[in-house]
Amino acid sequence: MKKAYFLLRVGFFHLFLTYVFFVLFTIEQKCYTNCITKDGGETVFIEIKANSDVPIYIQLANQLIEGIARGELKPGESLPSVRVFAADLGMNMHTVNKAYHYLEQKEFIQIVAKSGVIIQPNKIPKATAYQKQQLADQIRPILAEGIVLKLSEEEMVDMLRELVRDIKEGIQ
Amino acid sequence: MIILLFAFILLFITVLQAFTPKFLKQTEAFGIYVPEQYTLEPTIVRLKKRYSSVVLMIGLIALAGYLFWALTQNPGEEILVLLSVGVQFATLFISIGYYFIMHVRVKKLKKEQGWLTGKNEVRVVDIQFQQKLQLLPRVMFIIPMIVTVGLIIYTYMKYPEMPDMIPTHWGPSGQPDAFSEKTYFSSIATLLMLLVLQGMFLMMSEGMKFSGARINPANKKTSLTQQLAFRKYTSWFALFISVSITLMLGYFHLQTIHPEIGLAWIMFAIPLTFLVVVFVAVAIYAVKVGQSGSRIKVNDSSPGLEDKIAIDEDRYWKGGMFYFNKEDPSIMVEKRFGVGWTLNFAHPVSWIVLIVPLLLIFGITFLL
Repeated sequence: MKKAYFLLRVGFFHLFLTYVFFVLFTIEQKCYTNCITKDGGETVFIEIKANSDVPIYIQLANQLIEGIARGELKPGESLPSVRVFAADLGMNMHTVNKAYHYLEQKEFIQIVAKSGVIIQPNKIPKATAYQKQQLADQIRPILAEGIVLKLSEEEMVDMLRELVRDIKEGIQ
Repeated sequence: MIILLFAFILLFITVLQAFTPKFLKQTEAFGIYVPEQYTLEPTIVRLKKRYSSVVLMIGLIALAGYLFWALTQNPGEEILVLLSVGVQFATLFISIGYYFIMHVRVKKLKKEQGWLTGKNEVRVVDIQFQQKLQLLPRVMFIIPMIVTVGLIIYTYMKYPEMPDMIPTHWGPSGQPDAFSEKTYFSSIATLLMLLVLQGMFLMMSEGMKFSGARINPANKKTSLTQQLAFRKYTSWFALFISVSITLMLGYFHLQTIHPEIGLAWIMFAIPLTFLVVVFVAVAIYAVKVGQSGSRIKVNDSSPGLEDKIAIDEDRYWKGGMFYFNKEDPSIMVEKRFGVGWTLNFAHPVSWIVLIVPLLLIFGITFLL
């Protein structure tokens, strides 16, 4: 008699377990979809254009810089590992590595051996005279092109203001 | 009874195959990437419908033929099992063949209508995807393996008491139909196979951590939520199957050591329960979650963007079924046609993951 009772328990244990699994699944699924849709507001999406002239590693770095500029990527926040990032991009790990090193050179991120990549945890200081000069050097030829294309100073200043606004609001 | 069992399996396979297009993302039709704005193209809708009805019809005809043959001819068990499996495979192959015809048609349509011309192909990545991912912890998959190891130790403790012939295979009715002489190896062969299977489920769950997510640029939030849910429930599904197999094979094995627990009706009920339970799990996974979570409802108020499309990856999908992408470090990728996962075959690790368990299983059977 005892044995038969034991057998019944073993035999129905699986069915019971199955039942628990499905109940959990149903409850979980309800909560999960509700929760995640509610607080999904702060997601940082990165967009890479396939048919752009800008190299992909630069696009990647630029997108991350915009995230930092908007404050979406906070100091000390971790970035995905090279492998995971490359998998999400479906692109070579080398590309991600290049972007990370480019950003590390600018001291916007820190690559810590083994523990991963983080956004610069120390406050990024205001541009030095040298950094300012470098930025100016990069903008200069673009402005020259604008002048050649008959854009007035006001139009170019407007364009700049608009771009700053777009960056802050996250408009692509 | 066995006939009914096989008929049920055949019906299940047929229905699952026939309605596959319903469980998939809208943006993939027969293994071809379809940009958001073409998903409701009449031709595609028609092809999907035709696929479903043709596969369903072939399956039902095969089922009727099979039932007629089995019930009128009264074949011996061996022939019955052989033919039943044969019919299942034949139905599967026919549906795959029909899939290929559809695949080629959609491919042609895509080229003719120039679905990609003038569109911005964009890849979207969520930086915190890994942090948001809620897979079951690795320990959950290791616990069943520990149970198996415990059973191996227990077997060796009880080794002298075991019968001289060890059952190594069980028929559909739960009665052992193949035996091996008792050796230190054959007495734990079943458990070793179990360990291989459990290891595969563990790897499946681990592999998802390094599998790239493909977020639809036209509908970022919805697609992100669905992807996260899909991965999470895949790990649930894997654990569920792993635990179920452990219970079934573990019980069978214990029965060899303690024959008194092997009541005929229990030995009969266990594989049947297992089968039903697995089918229910598969059905829930396909219908409730869907491929890439496509059947999970998301309350996303942000409007869909029509001018952006995902990067077209058709060139990496041979026949829309096999993924070869050298650049992509992902090992596991979401299937394009079918619910579940496949491997990135351009990666040597994928071949190892595929071949090693097979070799182990064949090796164990061979050594018996």
